[in-house]
Amino acid sequence: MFSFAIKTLLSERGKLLTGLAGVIFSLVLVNVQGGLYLGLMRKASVLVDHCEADLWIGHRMIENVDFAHDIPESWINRVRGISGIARAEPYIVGKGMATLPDGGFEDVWVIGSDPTSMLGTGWGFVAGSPEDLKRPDALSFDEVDAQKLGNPRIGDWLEINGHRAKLVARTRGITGFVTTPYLFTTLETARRLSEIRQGFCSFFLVKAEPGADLALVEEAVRRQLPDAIVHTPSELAKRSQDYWMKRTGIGVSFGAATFLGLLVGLMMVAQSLYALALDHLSEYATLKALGAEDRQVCGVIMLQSLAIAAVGSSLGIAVVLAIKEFWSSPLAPIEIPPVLVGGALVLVFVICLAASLLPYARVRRVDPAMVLQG
Amino acid sequence: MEDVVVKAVGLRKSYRAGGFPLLVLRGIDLSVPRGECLFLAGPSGSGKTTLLSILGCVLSADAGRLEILGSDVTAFSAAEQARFRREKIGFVFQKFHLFDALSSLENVKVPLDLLGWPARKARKAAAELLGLVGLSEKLNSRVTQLSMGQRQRVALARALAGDPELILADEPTASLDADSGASAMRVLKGLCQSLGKTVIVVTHDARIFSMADRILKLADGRIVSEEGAERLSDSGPISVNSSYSYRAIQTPPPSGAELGRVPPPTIGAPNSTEFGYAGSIHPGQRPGRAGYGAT
Repeated sequence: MFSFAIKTLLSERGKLLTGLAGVIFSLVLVNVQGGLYLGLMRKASVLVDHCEADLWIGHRMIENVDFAHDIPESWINRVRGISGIARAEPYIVGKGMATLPDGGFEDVWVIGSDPTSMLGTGWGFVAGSPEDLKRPDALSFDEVDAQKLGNPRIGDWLEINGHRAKLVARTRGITGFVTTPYLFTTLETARRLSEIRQGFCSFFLVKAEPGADLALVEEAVRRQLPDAIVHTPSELAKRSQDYWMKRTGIGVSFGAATFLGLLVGLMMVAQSLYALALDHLSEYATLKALGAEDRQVCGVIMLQSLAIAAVGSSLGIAVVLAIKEFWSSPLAPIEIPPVLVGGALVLVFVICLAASLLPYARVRRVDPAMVLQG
Repeated sequence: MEDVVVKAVGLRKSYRAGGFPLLVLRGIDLSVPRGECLFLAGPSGSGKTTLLSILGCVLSADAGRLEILGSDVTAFSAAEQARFRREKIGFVFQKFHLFDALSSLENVKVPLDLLGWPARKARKAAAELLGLVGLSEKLNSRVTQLSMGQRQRVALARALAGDPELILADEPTASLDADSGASAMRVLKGLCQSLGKTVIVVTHDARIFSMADRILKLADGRIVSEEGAERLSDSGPISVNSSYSYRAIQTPPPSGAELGRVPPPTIGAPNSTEFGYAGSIHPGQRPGRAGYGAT
């Protein structure tokens, strides 16, 4: 029956193309929407994801790594004494207002790291290095934000909150969820440029000793700092992502768009399979007259739908990869992990099988006696 | 005791037309012995196609009893009917009802696929059947590329696929011109006779009546007359054309001879196991059930 199913499908190219278009549409939409969603969510935790700290300690009311609240820097002494902690450093995520050469203004995040380790500083340097940021009043900026900052060059000065700082390094691909520019520097410069008060910081970044039980360390920190919140990087990343998801309803938006895409794909595949079945009702009647049982007829239609799913998925994945290659950018990153592709494939195959129910329901009613009625 | 393939008693069938029952069969009694070529004739609306549909287990009678090959099919469920059709009955349809997207070989292979034959064995058997009907050169041709006569032969080969014991043909010459129709009918008759099949043909083509062993004429849902083989004996025995590559035929008919006008072939050499027949069989004889490729 394989030949019958496939050759009948191939004989109706218009309907086959419609079905394939449905599958490709669904697969591309699920992957691109999902990829954009994951990319955006990843941007919400970009500082955490690229930092090598084992634990983040912050204000207990913190909801998002970008929207930190000040904590007393003196608390760090209680942390440093805990067994299993190799290093604990203050970290600043401060707000600032940059005054641009053209007289305009731009909100910025000033990120300050301990100069001894530069833990949590920028990455992807294309000009300068983290070492350059240790110089007094030195800042890095990202290529993505160049236009926002008035297209500065290395060596230019930037005024933030009324204080001047020199742009000494340039990174590529660092941007957050709200696309406010990240400017990386040292603790001292960050404190001066932002509105963080003296003796306060945004987080403590903790590096555990090799082999230390992180859960025990985390628990010990909680006991020492009951007014602070202690998170592993993944916990803080999730907290930051959840914040944006709840505040913006972005998950619902992407989910609805993806659902509609799947629905449209389902309709296209179902419509093409149904039209194909209608055009070949007499052949199905012949099959039944020759003794085909319902399950065999169902098998033919399912085989056709799976063939559409398989070919459409292959083409769809190629389209997805092309879109990711050419359209993904730091501002609108498309992250397509294998689990997303796998999930989308499963969805598409389920949709195609569901789409075969409609033509099957029609073919099931076909009376084999019709082939003997002339 | 005569080996009866089809035995029908009091078959009745009605349809609803315009809200009123329309009685199409009004009590058909019928007995078809193994190996017989029975024609059902009659004017349009006489019920012959309905009768064929019931005999083919695609329709169920409203009343009466029908036994085919010893099975009471009257109470069969739809699934049982399908299985019975698949295993026991071959169909030749009026408009062939071949699968246009498929090649000749694939068309003939369909019933074997339905029977669950392994692909390689099914292909071999389908090729052999197409050889039997003289289409060994057209195995991979799409049926839409074939002439009407050739398509009918493909349909015939398909009907024989799976070695069914009963062949039902619905107006097998209706879509063909006179020559092609006669030729196709001779092939049908010759092969079925050679292979020991029981054939029931619905037709109103009087030109082929001479090929019947018996003709039942229907009118208004009843059998109104029966003409026996002795009345038709002047047409002579039926054979198959020598161009057919049926290797079991040992006595080839004269080249170009009109089918049906040549001496009966001897079928099944003692050593020939190609189609599973163990001995010599003449058209008049009735071989036991055997399957090509069964060995």
